[in-house]
Amino acid sequence: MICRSSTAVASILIFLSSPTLFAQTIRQEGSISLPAGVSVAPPPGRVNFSAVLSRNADFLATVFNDNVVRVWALPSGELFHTLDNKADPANRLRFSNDGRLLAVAAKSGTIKVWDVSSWKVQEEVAASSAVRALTISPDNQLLALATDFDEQIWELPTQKRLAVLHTPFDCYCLMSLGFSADGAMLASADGDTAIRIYNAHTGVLRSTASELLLESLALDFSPDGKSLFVGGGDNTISIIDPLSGKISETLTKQSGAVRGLVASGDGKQIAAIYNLSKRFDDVSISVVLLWDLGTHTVRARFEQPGIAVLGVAFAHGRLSVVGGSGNKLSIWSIQ
Amino acid sequence: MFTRRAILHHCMALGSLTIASGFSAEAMFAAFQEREKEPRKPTPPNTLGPFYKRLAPTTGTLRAPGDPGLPLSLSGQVLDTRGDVLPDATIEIWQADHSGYYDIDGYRYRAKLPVDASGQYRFETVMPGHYPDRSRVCQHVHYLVTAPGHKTLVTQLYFATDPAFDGDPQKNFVRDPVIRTPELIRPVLLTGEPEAIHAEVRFELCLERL
Repeated sequence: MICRSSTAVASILIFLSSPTLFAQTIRQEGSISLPAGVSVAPPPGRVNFSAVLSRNADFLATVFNDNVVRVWALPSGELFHTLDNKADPANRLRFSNDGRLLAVAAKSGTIKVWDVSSWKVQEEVAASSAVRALTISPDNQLLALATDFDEQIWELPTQKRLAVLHTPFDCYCLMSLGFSADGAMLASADGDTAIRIYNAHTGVLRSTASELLLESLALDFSPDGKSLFVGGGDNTISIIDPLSGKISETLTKQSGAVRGLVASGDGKQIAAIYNLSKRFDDVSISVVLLWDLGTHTVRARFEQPGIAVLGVAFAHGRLSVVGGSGNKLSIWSIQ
Repeated sequence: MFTRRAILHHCMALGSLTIASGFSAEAMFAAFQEREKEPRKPTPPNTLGPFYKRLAPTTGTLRAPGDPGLPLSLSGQVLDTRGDVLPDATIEIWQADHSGYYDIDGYRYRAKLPVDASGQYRFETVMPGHYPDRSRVCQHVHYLVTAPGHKTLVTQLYFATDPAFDGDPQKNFVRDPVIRTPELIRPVLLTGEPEAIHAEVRFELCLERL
């Protein structure tokens, strides 16, 4: 079911004092009603990263408590595809940067890479155990994944495993992975709180950022690959030099953990999702901050009580935000 | 019933067993016992985070005077799968306070400690609380155990007295989706006067060799 309210201007965007404040509006672009019994809220005790936006905000993929993968076209909210595999339900999803591919990791460790247009499995690889994080390189040639025991780099066209990266210990934790825009580097946020940056094709360790005290939950490279943005349990976003592994700058600490972040295509802004709950895995109280990287100030704040923000993406000159509560998802845009 | 050691002694006394090498009888027994050690099962791993924080202080005392909550002593021994004591092991623990909140800004209820020469450890803390509004997440203490030459262990300790188990942890451990085995749920010994009850829990830790 699709509802449209493209003219509604919400009042939940708060302008903050900034030397470069400019006119912005927030619009609710549409909403999606999930089937009865399907809920956006995660089951207690489980972290839910079951909703992902494509980088250009054209698609949203979700898997909620009914274990059905759904791919939605945005902003219309049209249901594009479904995948129901109850024998081996999905637990992690990730779009390629161009939105053409969707990697679906099942609890068994099998990862199927779907062509979003034809909805056919293009590639399939098998990790040794359940996948905690996965990402596809910008040229759609590599797939990186993290299990409880290691990280792996796969070449998709040949389905050949190129490298196994050994983590400091079997962490049974959340992890985050990301390729640089040129596909040369792979960054991994590991359970020992270190950020490791590898040669994406060989798996050779290039640098380690070991200054962070708490686990990082989200990362993204700047488009030029000169900076790595990392956020997590320390409630901040650190800007790391990928060559040295040193933290060059840290944005102002907030009152909640950073659960997701994405850099804009021009590298001038970051949108970050913060959990305001004291629980990292309670996504029901979340806020999005739009950071200006030139001034290191917050340009906008998106918050709506009861709405769990599931994803953000810069696309088409605006910031798209997807969130929801109960069995309803909503899509907003900030221009 | 004779033990295998007793049988060996009898055999030696009756002359039915001779020591052909230059080893003494005691050295032979020691070697025998070494071979006869029952392999131990490594402690099951469990979720690390996401509240792990590096650089915890080195101390065995996490409970400050006047801290609310049930005083709790955690102790045990670190062994490997052959039953050998690991005197070079280090144990790091972290937990929520009695209200169920972790200290993210500081190091309250976070500590690490080297074990003693016999592999023993002891922490003085409080019983961790349930996470607020998350009754399915059982009370727990996180452990990170390292020892040279051994695989680092990340695990959690749970308490058989947790109301979430309804008195039957063997059956009801599945109520917490993070608990994959009841082996990590330990009995709680309550001691002391009614107005000053103290809880004690033994949690032996077994590491795999690399």
